[in-house]
Amino acid sequence: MQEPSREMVDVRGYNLGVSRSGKGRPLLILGDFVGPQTWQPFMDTLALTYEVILPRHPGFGGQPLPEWLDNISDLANFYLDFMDALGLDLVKVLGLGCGGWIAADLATRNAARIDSLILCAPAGLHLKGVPQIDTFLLSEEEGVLSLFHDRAQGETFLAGVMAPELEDARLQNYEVNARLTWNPRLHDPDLRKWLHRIATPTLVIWGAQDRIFPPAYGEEWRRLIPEARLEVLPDCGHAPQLEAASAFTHLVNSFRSIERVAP
Amino acid sequence: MKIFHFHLMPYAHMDLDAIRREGSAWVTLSNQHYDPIKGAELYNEYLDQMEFADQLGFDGLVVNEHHQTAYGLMPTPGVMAGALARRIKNGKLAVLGRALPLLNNPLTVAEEYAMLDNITRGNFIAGFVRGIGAEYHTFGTNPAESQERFAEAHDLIIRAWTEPGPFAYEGKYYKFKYVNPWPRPYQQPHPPIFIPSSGSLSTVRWAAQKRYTYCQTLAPFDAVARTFDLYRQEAEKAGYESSPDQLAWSNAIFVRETDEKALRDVRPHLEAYMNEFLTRNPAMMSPPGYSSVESIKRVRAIKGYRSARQSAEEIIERGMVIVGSPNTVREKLAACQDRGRFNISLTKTQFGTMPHALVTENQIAIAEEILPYFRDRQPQPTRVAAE
Repeated sequence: MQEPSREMVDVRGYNLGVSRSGKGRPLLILGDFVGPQTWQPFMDTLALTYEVILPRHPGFGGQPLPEWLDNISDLANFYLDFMDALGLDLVKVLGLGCGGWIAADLATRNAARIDSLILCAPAGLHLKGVPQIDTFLLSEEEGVLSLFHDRAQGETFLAGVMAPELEDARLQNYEVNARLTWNPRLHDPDLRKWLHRIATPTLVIWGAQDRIFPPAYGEEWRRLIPEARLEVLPDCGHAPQLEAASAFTHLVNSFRSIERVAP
Repeated sequence: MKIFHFHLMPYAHMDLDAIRREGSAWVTLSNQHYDPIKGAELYNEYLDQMEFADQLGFDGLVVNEHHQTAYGLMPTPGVMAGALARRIKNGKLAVLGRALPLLNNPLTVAEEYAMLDNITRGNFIAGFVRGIGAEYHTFGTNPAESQERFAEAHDLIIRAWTEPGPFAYEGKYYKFKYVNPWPRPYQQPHPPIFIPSSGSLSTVRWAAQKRYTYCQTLAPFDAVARTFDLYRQEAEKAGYESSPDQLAWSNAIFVRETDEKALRDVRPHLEAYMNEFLTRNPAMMSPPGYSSVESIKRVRAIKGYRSARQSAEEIIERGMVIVGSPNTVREKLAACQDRGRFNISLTKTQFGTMPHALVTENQIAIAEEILPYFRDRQPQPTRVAAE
């Protein structure tokens, strides 16, 4: 497997770290805020089909906190600038967790450069009466484990991300995560009002045992985005890309813009 | 030294087994454990204790602020201060709350404190705090904004007290077209300001720069002394020599005829206070952004901190409270005053599960045996310092 290349991209004065790998149509991955924001094995699989582009979110992973960063919509607008800066056209956008929230917000604003949208267990909506784990009351370790349905898989994964040399970046990420998602908790009350504007073909992927955003949320996303299809993966928690990587990458690879949902 | 009478007003009837079972006395401990019949009695006993302390000659009465916990029943300290404002005859009245970042409108604090300052004819002391980590869970305030909100709210309140109104205020978090609070403070330019903190470098530095009285919350005395040293250093860096009147130590004192009797009588109440009532998980106490990355790492590095149950002997040994015969308490408090070079003691006479009758005896003993000894006492040079 080829190592991803690392480069810095200047987006209107903010220098952003970007990893790239593979050849093919561009696939922009907007990662989650919890867990590592580094290159993951499932991205190598996707890089066999696409040119995978993984930016490190502004303010995360040791990068300075931009003065303009107050909420998720700021990141949505930032990534529109980012796509302009890279000259990306007809890009497939994959958003994971909070990255899915950014992707959906972005697509309600301007989807001109987007070929198709894949949202994997996105944050951003709130459903009354659906019990959710409060990850901010968990220890760092329990927080990572809560992403997984299978605890043994979670513990294997945890061992890799809890390295002491990553502690500073983890703590910084956690702080910026809180800045953006603490209240309203992991959602934007205004987002649901505008999801009908997403005309792009959209695939929503969910883990059947997601405890952070239970599958009822997947149904809600499917209902609110006109051209959306929902795929629920069994035996899987909040991070299908990690816990059910082969089923996940298969879904991403086989979702094409020409695929339209029957009216 | 000034000795103020400080109260947390804990829910002393709390079923301690329930705290052990639920693993928390904060945030998630159900309020179904609170019995209003017993609670009403407690509130009145506690207010009686405060009024009695004023009659006994304590230098001031101090209330504080905590939310959604059995640890303290004063979510709105202004209510207690209001109940005391017309009763207090001798000492000062201090609110060592208000958690400014938790409030949507900090101007309410400018108003509330100015009212208390007027009612007491200028005997009021104004506290400003950020609130503890757990309170960012209970209020929903974003902990990553805590420092910025505190700084802005403080700025707004001081300006509201000192600049002629009305004026417009345009901050990042607080925006007002008209800032013009009635009444104005009785004391000019404003009441003395006390800043309680657990000892974070940024708060100590800021308080020293502002010449505000720094109040060290519950901590082993070694840590208290180090923090007070830090304050003096920060004052020097700011170009002045700080006075012992700018430093206050928050403690608890329990006096009986002998050391043995004191230890025996205090044990269940002290151990409940330091163990059960302080039960909370680290994530609850340290929400992201509330503390800097450096201070989170510093706390993590102190392995086992507060993780094991502490016995009364250990708590006393670490100098978090002073317990013993009148002689022992006088000697220990004097040693602390000399080592920490502070002139204000914020002293709890009730803590944990301690019942009213025992508190009254403790208050009388402190008033008779301790207060007179310290009335005019200044920090003395310690042997090390004298050499």
